[in-house]
Amino acid sequence: MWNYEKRLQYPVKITQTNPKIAQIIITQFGGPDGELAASMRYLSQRYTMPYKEVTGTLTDIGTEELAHMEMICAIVYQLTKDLTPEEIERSGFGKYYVDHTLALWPQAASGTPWSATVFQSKGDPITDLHEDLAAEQKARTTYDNILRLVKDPEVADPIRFLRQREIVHYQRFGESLRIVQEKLDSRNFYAFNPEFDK
Amino acid sequence: MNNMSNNNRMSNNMMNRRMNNMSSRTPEQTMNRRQLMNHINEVSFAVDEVKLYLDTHPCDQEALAYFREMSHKRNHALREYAAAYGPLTIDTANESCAERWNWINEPWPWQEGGC
Repeated sequence: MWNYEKRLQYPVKITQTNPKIAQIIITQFGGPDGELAASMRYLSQRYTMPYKEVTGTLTDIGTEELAHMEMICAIVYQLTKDLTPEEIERSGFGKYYVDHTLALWPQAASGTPWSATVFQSKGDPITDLHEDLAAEQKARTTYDNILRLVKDPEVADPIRFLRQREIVHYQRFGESLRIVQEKLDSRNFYAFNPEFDK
Repeated sequence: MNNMSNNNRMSNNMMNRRMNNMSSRTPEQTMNRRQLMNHINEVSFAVDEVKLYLDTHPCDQEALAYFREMSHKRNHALREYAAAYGPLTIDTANESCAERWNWINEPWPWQEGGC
């Protein structure tokens, strides 16, 4: 069960539209290393996770990723608000506009639609936590790539906040992996799968 | 009732509440709207951060004390905000929804004037 809170986790206040950069940043909504995929990954993996610390971490980080998805959508919304047909044509935003007008739709920067195939929910805690650690680093790299292209400080500020959160989440998943390994056979972590073998 | 007069009514309620509480003003009651929102964002972030830390360090007494302090500040500030400007959470909607459903009145957080 979730409750909505009517504020962003970190404020987004962009006064200058920029449809070019919006087409780049939308990849963190619906791209392979984006916030929607992050949230669905952790919230899918948690049901069969046998260790309460890790179930809690997956639930709380998966929930925070929904708030990050909302921040990315707010950034894209504010970067494309009230565009004129001339601005749409000039910026190359026309291919998105023709299908979605100025609405938000989860796609990668390439235009590829969001897909559950960008993440795994494997049912093995070591496998899933390695996926989660990699996912946080891939998202961090994506934010670094975005920050090299963004010139507007009003856009860079919330992007830097999101980048920082990837690093904190990486730390928490690292601790989760340590907790899992402490509960397994230190001579062979793969002797059995605690999500399946009893 | 249009949005503007509704905001004025809420501001008046806030003023009355604050006047009546002059002798026992909390720090939150001396803040303007933007300051109170920033305060909510800050203490809420502290709660988010320590919550994740506690998931993997559930017996850390210092972190538990920090969680209790920040959680208390957050809940207090959310109630203050709801009474003065409209609710941010469903659990504080009682503070300002006596006469009409104010949940939908204030801007959404991605909109101008939102949080």
